[in-house]
Amino acid sequence: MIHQVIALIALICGIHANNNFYNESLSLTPLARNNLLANFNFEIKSLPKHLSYYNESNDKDSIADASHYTYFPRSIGPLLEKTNTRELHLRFAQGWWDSESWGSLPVNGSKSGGTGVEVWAVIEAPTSKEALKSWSKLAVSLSAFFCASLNFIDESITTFPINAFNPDTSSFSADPANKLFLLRAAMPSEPICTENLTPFIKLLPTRGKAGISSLLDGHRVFDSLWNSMSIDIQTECDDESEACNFKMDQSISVIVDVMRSLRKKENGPIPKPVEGDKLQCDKSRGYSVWQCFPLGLPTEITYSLRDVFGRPINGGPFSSQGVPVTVNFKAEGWDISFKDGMNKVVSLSENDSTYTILGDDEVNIDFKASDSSKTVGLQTAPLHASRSLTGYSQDKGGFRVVFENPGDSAISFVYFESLPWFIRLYLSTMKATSKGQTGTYQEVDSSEYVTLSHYQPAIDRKRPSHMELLVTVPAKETLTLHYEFDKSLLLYAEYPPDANHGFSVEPAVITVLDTNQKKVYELRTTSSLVVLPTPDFSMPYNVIILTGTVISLAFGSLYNLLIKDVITEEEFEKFAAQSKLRKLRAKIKSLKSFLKSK
Amino acid sequence: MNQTHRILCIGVLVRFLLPTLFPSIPFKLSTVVELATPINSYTSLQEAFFYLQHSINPYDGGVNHHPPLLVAFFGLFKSQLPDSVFLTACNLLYSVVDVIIALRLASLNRWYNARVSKKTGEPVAPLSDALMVSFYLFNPLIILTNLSHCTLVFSQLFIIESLHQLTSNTNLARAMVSLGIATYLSGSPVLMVVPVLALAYVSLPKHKWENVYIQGTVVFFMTCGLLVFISAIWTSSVAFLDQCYGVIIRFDKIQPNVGLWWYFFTEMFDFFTPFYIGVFNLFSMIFIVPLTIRFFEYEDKDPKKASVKTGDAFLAVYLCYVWMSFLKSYPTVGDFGLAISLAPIFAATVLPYCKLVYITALTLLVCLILSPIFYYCWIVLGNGNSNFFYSINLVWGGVHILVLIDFTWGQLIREYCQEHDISPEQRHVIRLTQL
Repeated sequence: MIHQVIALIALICGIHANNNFYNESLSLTPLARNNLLANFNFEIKSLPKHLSYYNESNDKDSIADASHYTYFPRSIGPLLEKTNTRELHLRFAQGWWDSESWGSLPVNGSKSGGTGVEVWAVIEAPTSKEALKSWSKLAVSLSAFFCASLNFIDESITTFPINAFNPDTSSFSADPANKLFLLRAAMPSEPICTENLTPFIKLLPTRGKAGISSLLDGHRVFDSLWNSMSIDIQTECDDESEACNFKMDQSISVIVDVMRSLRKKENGPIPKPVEGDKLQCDKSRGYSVWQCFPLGLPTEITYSLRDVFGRPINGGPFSSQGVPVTVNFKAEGWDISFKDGMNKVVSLSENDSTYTILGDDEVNIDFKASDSSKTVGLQTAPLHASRSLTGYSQDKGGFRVVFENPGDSAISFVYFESLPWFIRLYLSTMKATSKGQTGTYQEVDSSEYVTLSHYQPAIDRKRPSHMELLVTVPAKETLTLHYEFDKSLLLYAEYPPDANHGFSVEPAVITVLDTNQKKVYELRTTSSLVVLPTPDFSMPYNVIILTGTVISLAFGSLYNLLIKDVITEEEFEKFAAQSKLRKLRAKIKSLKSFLKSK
Repeated sequence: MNQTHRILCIGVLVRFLLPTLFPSIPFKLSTVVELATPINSYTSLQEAFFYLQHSINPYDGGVNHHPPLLVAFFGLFKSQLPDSVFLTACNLLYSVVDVIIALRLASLNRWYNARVSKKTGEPVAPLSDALMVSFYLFNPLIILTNLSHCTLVFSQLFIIESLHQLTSNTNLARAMVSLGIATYLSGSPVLMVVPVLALAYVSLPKHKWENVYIQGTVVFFMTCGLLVFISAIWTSSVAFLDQCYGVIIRFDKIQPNVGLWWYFFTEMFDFFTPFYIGVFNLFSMIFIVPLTIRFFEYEDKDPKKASVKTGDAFLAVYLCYVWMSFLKSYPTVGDFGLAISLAPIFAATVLPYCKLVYITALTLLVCLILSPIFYYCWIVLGNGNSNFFYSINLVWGGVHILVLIDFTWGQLIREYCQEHDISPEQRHVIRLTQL
């Protein structure tokens, strides 16, 4: 039913279903240790249209006219036009990419984010102030749209990257007097979950009902070792006709632990302890009722796509449009076959590993491995990077960043790091150590490896620090950078409710460049959790009272000393005797003695 | 080589050899909250050099709060000398600064006591130079401040230099220029203008009050203005004004220190903050004029009149300095350290009448021992919280109050004795009170 509706919509729009405006593809790669990497790609284009610079005063009709969107989501298009966004990139990611055992990130990392949400955009504006205005408008709208707290993006976490995110296309600006501004912000503590996936799927013309997007079930996507969603929107312009169209790439990559999926299928979502007779023990080693050395992972396994994602692929996206599904595998260990609704079975071979799904029938894929440890694997990552915090006190600390070049040639890259203002960075403390072929760490002069290509210190509550380093690591060498910072105390109201949990510091972004300074690979370190000193939150009134006491003590005692007359104590007694109070007391005394005598 | 010189040599050795042999000492100490604040720490000065080297504007950010000319002065050496030589030169510079301060204190001591003897007609025996110098050079608070290479010492140097120029050299212009530089370096010495001018009035030989006050004020503000002007030209913006002095006025560089304000503004409700900023800025200057007037040395044509003997402009300067150290936005123990080292100047005059010296010393000791412990418990161990450290800040304020009232009361007793010609035997028996 849904297919007919979508086909009907496509017909009404006057576009052939098999088209240039919408494409999707899926690629599956079994990895070692029974993991499966799935890459979902969706490409959507809008129709060409003349793009103009939008501001409050000029025509709103151009935006009201939405006929050029067709497959392109109507919800996002006007937003881009209203904020003069020429490029928009969004990343939602969770988990840790184990580059040493898995290899390089899918699509050379260009679609993978770091922990949390990251957004960067190219915005056309006459001044950076205007750009920031559009930027916050964009952030607020995206926040509502993707159910993420992007509305907290403000000046204090926004940077203007210079070398790190070289935007590859579109230097288009509608008004030649305007400039293009690249703005970026990240929210590392944002948890990614189903409520972010649902709007993501809603952007697709298939709405997750048909095509490969039918596999995207929140429970499965987020029950993975690592996942990353990305949206990249670019403006493509034809110089002659001066008409522009939006091009949107959406992608989701997940690494699924197949054994866990199978276990869940068997036992349900709540893990149960394995019963005694089902334990898989290594009987060649000590084995008794009390002792069991577990066996390694099984290498002979069978599973289907339905086991991993909970459902099969619901046919092609549109009745007449196919979707290519590629499986990268090694023939000697694996037997992969596609099974459609008519139970027709197509086996894949290593050379011809793509199958195009056509029609409306459900398609399932069976994975049979005689030796699942034999995988094609991913390319070795050109660079391994990790960042960790050093120090143990709440008032200062340091970062230790380790770059390991596993390759045979020197590698150079841009290291981009933006730290929140409450981290007062002392770059003068930067020290470098290097571990070469000898295998021992040696202190080296950091200027031989690192050039500071851009640095902008943070301003309290107004601007994050923004550092871009140009680093070169020789072949087979490991470079370690260490630099220190002070942590600032925040004001009472600036702490979040769980102040002692710590504050996330966004991942650093590393852009690997080739000899022509072109971006060839991109990766991000993990985010870091910095614990700041906290005041006692129950104290406001006490502090006001106690400090007030001390200053009034100072004032009162000094004031008295300075203005009163100095006299001897005898004189004081005399004066005191004449005071009204004394006189009254004397009277009472005499009255008392008078009464007693009576 | 007399005793004073030997003491000076030992003082220099401690200050020069320790950081030269162990170059990490200044860097370690400059992160101790009691010794340095973000406003005047050596670490942030280093960061400023780093910015200069990489042609980043040092005043476009929240790390460097040192005034431009100080940064430029150090930066000049930094760029000319190799790193190790530069660090050694720094150690030498800081040692020399302390030696100069020590010598100036000795000369101030001589001048003050000679003056008091002359004025009251009773000879007072000052402490020897050697003692004065060692009170300064072996004051642990001063040694630590110096080893931490806190830039506070430069500001103190110019305050002391200003007093020295007024008293021993009787040169008003130089004194006011020095005070102007001190103000430029750390902002708060601006409060000292009032008592210093009052001191100038009595210390300069032939004077008219118009000349002293007008000349002094004009020279002071000209110096400040000139320094600010040169800085503005050098940085080609006035952003440094906000970074160096705005921060002091707004109390907004919140980091634990020994003062009263950091915790107050941390805990304060947003909407009250501007009000309290105003109140505390006013409060920090509230006793400057009263103290100066109360201890002003009036002149009278008739030398037999009792009031001629009273008043003590130098004590007013001292008390104003303690008041400034008490209410500074970002105080360190070095501020009070100088106050301790100045106190022996009054050994033969006010100190004998002080009754709380013992209590003050004990309170101070408790502060100095507990402050690092409580800070460590809060920040590192996590088994104490900020209130522990804050309580010691309050006691630290209490030490200042004790010193202020003890010296003031001591001077009041002294004045009473002078006015009423009480014999020296009677002076310590007499019991006074106020009405």
